[in-house]
Amino acid sequence: MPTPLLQIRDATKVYSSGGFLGKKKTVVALDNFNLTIDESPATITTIAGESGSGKTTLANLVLGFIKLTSGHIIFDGEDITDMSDEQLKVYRRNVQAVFQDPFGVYNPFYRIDHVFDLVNKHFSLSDNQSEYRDMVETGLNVVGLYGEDVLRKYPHQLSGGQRQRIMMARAYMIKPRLIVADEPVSMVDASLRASILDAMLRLRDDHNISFLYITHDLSTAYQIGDQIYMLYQGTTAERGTAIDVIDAPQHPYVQLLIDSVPVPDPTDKWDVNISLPSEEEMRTAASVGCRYYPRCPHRMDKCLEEQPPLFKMDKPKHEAACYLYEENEIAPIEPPVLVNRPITEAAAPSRARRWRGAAALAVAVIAAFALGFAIAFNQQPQEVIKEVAVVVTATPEPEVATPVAATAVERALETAPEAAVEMPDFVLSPDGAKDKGELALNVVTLDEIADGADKHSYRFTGSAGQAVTVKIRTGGSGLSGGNLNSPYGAIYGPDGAFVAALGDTAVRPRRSYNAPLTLKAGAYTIIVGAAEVDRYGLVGDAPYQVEIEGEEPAVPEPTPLPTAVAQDFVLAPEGATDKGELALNVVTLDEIADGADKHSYRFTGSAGQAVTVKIRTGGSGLSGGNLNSPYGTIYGPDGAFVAALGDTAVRPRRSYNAQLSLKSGTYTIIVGAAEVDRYGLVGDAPYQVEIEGEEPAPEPTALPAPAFDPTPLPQPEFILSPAGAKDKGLLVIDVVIESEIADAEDKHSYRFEATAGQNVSIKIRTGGSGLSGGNLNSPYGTIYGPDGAFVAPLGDTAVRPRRSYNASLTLKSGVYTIIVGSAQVDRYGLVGDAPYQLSVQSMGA
Amino acid sequence: MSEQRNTHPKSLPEGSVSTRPHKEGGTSTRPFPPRGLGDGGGDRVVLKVDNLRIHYATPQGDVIAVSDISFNLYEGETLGLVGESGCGKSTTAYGILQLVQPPGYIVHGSIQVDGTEVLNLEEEELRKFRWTGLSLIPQGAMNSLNPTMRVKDQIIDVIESHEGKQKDKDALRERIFELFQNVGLPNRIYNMYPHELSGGMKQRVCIAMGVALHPTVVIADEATSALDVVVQRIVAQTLVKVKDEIGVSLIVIGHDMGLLAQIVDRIAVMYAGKMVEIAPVENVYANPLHPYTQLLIDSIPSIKERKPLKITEGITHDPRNPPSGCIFRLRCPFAWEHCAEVEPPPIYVEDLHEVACHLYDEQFEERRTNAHALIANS
Ligand SMILES: Nc1ncnc2c1ncn2[C@@H]1O[C@H](COP(=O)(O)OP(=O)(O)O)[C@@H](O)[C@H]1O
Ligand code: SF4
Ligand code: SF4
Ligand SMILES: [Mg+2]
Repeated sequence: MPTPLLQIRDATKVYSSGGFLGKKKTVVALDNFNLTIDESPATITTIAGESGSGKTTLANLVLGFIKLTSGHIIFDGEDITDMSDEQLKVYRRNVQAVFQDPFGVYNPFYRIDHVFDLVNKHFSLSDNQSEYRDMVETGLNVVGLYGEDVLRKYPHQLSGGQRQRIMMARAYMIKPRLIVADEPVSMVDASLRASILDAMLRLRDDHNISFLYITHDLSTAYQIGDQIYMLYQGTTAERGTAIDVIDAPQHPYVQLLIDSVPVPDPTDKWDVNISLPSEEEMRTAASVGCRYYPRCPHRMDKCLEEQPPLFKMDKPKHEAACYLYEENEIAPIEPPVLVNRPITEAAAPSRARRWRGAAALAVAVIAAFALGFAIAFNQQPQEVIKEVAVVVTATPEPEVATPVAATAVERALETAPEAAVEMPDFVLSPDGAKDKGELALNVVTLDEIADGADKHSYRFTGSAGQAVTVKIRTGGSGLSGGNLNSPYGAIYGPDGAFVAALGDTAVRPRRSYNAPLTLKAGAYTIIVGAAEVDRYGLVGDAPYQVEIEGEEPAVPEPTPLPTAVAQDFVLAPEGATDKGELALNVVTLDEIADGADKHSYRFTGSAGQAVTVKIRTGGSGLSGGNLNSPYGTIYGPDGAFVAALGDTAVRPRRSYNAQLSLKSGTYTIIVGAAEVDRYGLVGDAPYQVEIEGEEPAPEPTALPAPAFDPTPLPQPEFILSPAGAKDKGLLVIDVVIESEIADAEDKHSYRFEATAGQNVSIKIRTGGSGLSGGNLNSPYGTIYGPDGAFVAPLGDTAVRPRRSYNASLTLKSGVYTIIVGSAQVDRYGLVGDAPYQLSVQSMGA
Repeated sequence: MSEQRNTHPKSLPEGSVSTRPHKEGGTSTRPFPPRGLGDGGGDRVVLKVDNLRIHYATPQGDVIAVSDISFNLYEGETLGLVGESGCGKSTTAYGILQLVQPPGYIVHGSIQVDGTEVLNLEEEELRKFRWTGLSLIPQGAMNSLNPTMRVKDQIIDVIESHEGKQKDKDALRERIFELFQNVGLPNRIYNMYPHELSGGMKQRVCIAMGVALHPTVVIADEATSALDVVVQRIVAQTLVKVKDEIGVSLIVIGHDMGLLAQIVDRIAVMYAGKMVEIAPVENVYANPLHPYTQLLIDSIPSIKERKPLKITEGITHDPRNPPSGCIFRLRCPFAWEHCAEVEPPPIYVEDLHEVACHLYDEQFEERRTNAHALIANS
């Protein structure tokens, strides 16, 4: 019998949460699960079930993102926990992933060809450009796309179906034997799913690539699936060919599931009278016996005794775990086929084995804590590790503990082959690290990509007694969950001695690590690596960021980043539209920009002035999945690069800050923004910029107060009279007043000085975020001229609220007054006051 | 308002299949049972959307999100609004509720609920009108529940914001329990926070809030997307049950044609901001007329038979620059020169069934016959 491609035997995964201070909760996500995928011909094996049934856990296990609590995953006859480094590398190539959100994978700021360039870089597919281009083209053709149509486009310019197929093309280029596809079509419109399914069929039939197709959509499984496993609370309720199972489901749960798939035929409507189980019942699991018992219409006493095994059904390979078929033969679990060595304990895991797994986990957690304390108290962490190691060997069943530790050691070895003997395994040695230059204080590096094979080294200079915190974190936003990037590093002192570790990768990956240090004078070195165990399947390296947080010992001198780092995600000032001067602590109104249409702002710093430059998306986020992202770059008075706003190398984020200590002179901020709504909408996006900080020398020009008596006007009620309005001072043309709160009782009055013939556009709009959807704040106002006469209304609140109003005016010379109010007409009915924004923009003469 | 429409079915070009009878006060029968108890049947129009156009302003020009659409919603009816993402379904819903947010704005149109012009409502009236006249269960509503407020407080908030502070707390609680009963929620969630509920339960809390003040029209935007099939079925059936019990008219926005077949009476199909077909649900599935509707029906995945995959890309044009003539012509297998020159007006084909495609213009009967033959052969 040929060795199957993938064999999963008695796989159990227990998640535990809490436990340190809170009450410990454990969830059995996968319970004694068995599965076999044959080597040839390639097949599509569907894993179906409702959310929480263990589908994604299974995918993450097969991809090696998480580890089994007990049981075996055997690829090509080799247990993945026993694999050597070489074998693991091959395994990672052979098993690729395609994930649900066809957008989260992409960096919105890069064109599609970047995806392939990364693959080429990472998997060294070809050095030869034309050969590489051919490979990309072939990969795209396999999934029904053409390079000229997609490669130069940005992700948002493609449909969800195209984006998913590009992920398949990417996977295909690596020539894997198995693709784990977790809900690849669920975020794509039904009418566009066919193209993705078609790509899967082509890869299966023409290129012998098998799929583990994870879905809750049974109709697509029916259309293209070979085998299907119906999961219920971590166990297989039923399995067989997709057609047998869906045509004639045998397990009561599967019957309900299939009956609930809406039939696209209005003449064949649901039997509304069947009583559906209450939803809370559906979530309760039986702890003994059949897990479906609480919901099952056919339940019997027997079902409570023991979990039902899979019984054979009439059709070959069709099995259901239900005592209704007790008369049938029990389906045997095929013993695993192994290539090299046999697994000592096969089949049925005992309770004891599960317990041992938990013990190993506990030991690992203790190790992590111990290490944390070691770093905090500046002890030598290796001593602690030795102690922990003793604990590990002292556990009653060390052979189960070992795989957990061993894999970590393997990983560390793989990444730091020349680690110094005394160091714990995960401490990176400085040898072989690539120099990335000097780090400035309080400046976060842009996302760099590294892994153990490709370590980076940063230098920074400490002053005696200076207190800093060295921070390292993954560059991923983790928006979609499941992200397991982990950075790690080590700090060496001026004398080259080990100072502190960043990371506890011996245990499990974490998104960030800090080390608080008190420095000696001299040059420190930080060695950084990052392991990508990203759920998007780009297994290998990962983006990270480093920052040294602390007080400047002396005069701050922002170091220009090496131009090698400042690549395309740093916005060059060239070609940016000038948007004028920014005032301190004033937020701009939503401006719309994208990469092609950059904006440039100027502001004047005084020596030593501390400011935070903030940039954030102005998007409303109405539909939830909005992924607008702003990005920008700050240049100093000398034109040199000062800081980046954004980590656009990786994923969009809603806001970025940069803390700066200024020199005196004019700084420039270049800003762009991309709208990366998950529905694949338009390219540009609104953003806001603000410079937060202390005025160096507050001296606002005081204009004489307006000398006029309000003209008695026949006033419609939406015209605000100046009487009783609170004076808010002078308005600077082209500067936005942000989010003042007012209502009709509490009116505000602004003045601005006009020159004869000047054209301005006066805008007023609500400052509300509208995040929750139905927000209907409405601003309103009235403009009075130098003579005190009514000039124009802002708003038609007599009619209905609107979010913004404009008035375009040609002015006379003199001081104008704007009276502003604002009403909150929130959809939850909380009427009252509301924030507003006001600006007077010059439109020339 | 309807006078300004250049494509109103009442002013069909000559040679179209037939003319549309007057709906208002008409006597034609409708394919769904009237809800009214002896009120003369459900032929009353509760929502009339006329020539509604909504744009999103962008620096490269306006995105035409909703392009001059018109339709009626009848009393007691469930209308499905379908089309691929980005075709303007949600924007239509926001437009009807006057909730379009900048950079979006309503260019023109008329929206009448029970004869009231929503666009003319004053601020205070509009505020009252939401929840009582019109209510929206927005897309992703379950994620917009306030995580810091108990379920009861959020529902009380809706009630009290419209009816003022409720003195009789017991009666208020009973009223909420009754709402729970309507949507099949257990009373014990009264004091719970949203995160303690499953997705389907949260979605039903949103439905309960949506119907709490017995509005005339409820719009549910993708209310069951992102739920497992069994839960989806429970929530969909809850919607229909509540609609019948409370007596509202319903617009269900979705892209799952299977689900819509189960719960709606009529379907309106949108493509890139245009409404291309509107018809009783049976007609849509048995006899889709517009080539885009045909494509939608063809691509419904089945669990009854394996079919060859029908591959299609999404909306292909830039929404700022729609093609001349027919909006669908870049993807239409039957397009000819005329489709590029003239925008197809809605053509009345039978009671409650309209389609915007030149094939159904009498003068192109031959083309229609050929097109249908082509479909039959494939
Ligand atoms: N805030 C926005 N700015 C610009 N265009 C938008 C915005 N929101 C939606 N759109 C555009 O409006 C159109 C309709 O979108 P939407 O109503 O969300 O469609 P659906 O609900 O059918 O998915 C799309 O072309 C989309 O790109
Ligand atoms: S084993 Fe018993 S409880 Fe479980 S599904 Fe079968 S009949 Fe129902
Ligand atoms: S009008 Fe022409 S292009 Fe448009 S759907 Fe009909 S046949 Fe196709
Ligand atoms: Mg929508």
